[in-house]
Amino acid sequence: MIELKQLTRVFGERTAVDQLNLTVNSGEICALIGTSGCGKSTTLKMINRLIEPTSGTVLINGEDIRDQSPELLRRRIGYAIQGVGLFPHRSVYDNIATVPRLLNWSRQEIDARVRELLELLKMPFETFAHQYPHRLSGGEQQRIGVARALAARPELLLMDEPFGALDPLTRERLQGELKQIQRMLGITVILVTHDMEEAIRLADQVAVMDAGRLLQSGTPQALLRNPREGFVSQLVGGEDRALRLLALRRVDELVQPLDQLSFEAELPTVSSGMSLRDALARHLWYGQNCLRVVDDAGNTLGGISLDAILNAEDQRP
Amino acid sequence: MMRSLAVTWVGTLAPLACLLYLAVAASTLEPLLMPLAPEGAPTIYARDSFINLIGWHLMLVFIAIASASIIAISAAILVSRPAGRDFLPLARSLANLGQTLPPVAVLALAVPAVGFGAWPTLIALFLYGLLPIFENTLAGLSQVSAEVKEAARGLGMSPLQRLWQVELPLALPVIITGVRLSIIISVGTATIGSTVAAKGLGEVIIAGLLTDNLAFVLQGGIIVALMAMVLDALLRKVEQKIRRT
Repeated sequence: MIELKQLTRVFGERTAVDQLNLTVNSGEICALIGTSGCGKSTTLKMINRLIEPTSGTVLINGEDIRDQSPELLRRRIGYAIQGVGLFPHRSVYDNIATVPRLLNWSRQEIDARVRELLELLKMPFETFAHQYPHRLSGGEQQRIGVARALAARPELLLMDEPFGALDPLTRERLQGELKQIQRMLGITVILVTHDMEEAIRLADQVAVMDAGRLLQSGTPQALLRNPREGFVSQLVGGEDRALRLLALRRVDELVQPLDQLSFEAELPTVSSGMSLRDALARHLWYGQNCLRVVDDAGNTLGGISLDAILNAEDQRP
Repeated sequence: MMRSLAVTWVGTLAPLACLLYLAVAASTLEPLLMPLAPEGAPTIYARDSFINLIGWHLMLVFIAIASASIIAISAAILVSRPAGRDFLPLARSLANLGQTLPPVAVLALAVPAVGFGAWPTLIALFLYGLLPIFENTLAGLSQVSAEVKEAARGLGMSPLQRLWQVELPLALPVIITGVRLSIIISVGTATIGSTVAAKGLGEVIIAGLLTDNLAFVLQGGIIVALMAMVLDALLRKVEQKIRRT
């Protein structure tokens, strides 16, 4: 558990972060969201002491981060940034090995870990390990940046707009991979972003900041359903709030047996893992009231009706 | 591939071959240079072997530039650290001063203090060599991208680790350019050392000037120029090799 308590940072006349309180549960992804200059990056950097707070404390599993030297603390915390910052004079292998080497791991341990991480990111060792960063695409560089951050098995990963510089397709794919890896490793992630879609797609907890203050924090659903007046509702609101809510739920929540529905023989299909938002788009595309739901293997699980999606919000417990 | 390899090496090997030829077999050029020497005077400088003089000359240059590199690089590192930033203007003016004082004036000032011989020449070359190395080290360190530096900090490298493992390796090609410039300048400048009795190729040129022997001046001048070309080409190769990785 990460606890930020009364965290404050003043730069000269300007208060960048103002008495911020936030608790992030272990194994969850927390997105700090806000406009440029709202203090979200400053908050993130106070967690690994790249910036020292003016006042307030940060506790990681109950332990004050100031009990350790900044260098030792940072080697325990993964850190990935928007510009990636891979070392251009080091190969992919050596970049990933950075923190394990600082921690004096043995060569065999480092070798095994680099292989494991490249495999995790689906980047073949033989192809990538000995490449230099400038030969990689933006998406590949960002993956290596994440691998480098995860190399020493940190329990906490800090990310500062990690996908900001990527094209939309690559960004979406990497977000998916990040979520998968995070669930698999069970690590805690604190992520800074200005992209509400990204926050909703990835986060278990979204914390909205403005002018150095925490305005509201909660699950994406809670924020979408009951945003506080003003900035938060501007940020999450707008016309597509309902669609964003649907994007958080999956088709398999609303599957009905096909015989309850006005059954037609050759219904177009949706997969059970799809979001309700994408399923709705399919209903519109095919002009159908009902679609067949299939699992990954192609077996029919039932059907999903347009009515069920339209009423989805009311059925919520 | 083979052709480009030949082309890249011809710039180094051709001057090197000429230099070696002159060093060991200058006497074969006697008929060619004869018309340039006064009647009855020797055509080829014979008071010392060229090999010896080249050796002395290079030693002066290397000792001077090695010390200048150590001082200039350390100074540039110091003033680029947060703690040393206040000393940047001071260090810069000192390096500039070294460059603006003419080496001849330095020799004149140094002889009363340290006597004749190699010392005053070393001092002049050292001062003259500081500025390019200092400025290039600063430029090299400052071009390391902010993201790379932040990543190094965020991963938990100590200030010293960041310097050795990230900043200096990335600045190295630019630093070597500075060292190369200083060496080239200094190979030419070292000839004046012979006016204060430092051993080197300058003594061939000066002997030629004193006795109106154009053949001597030409021999000395050409050998110095060839040395500068060979060193320049070699150091460029080193730079390219580092840049490529």
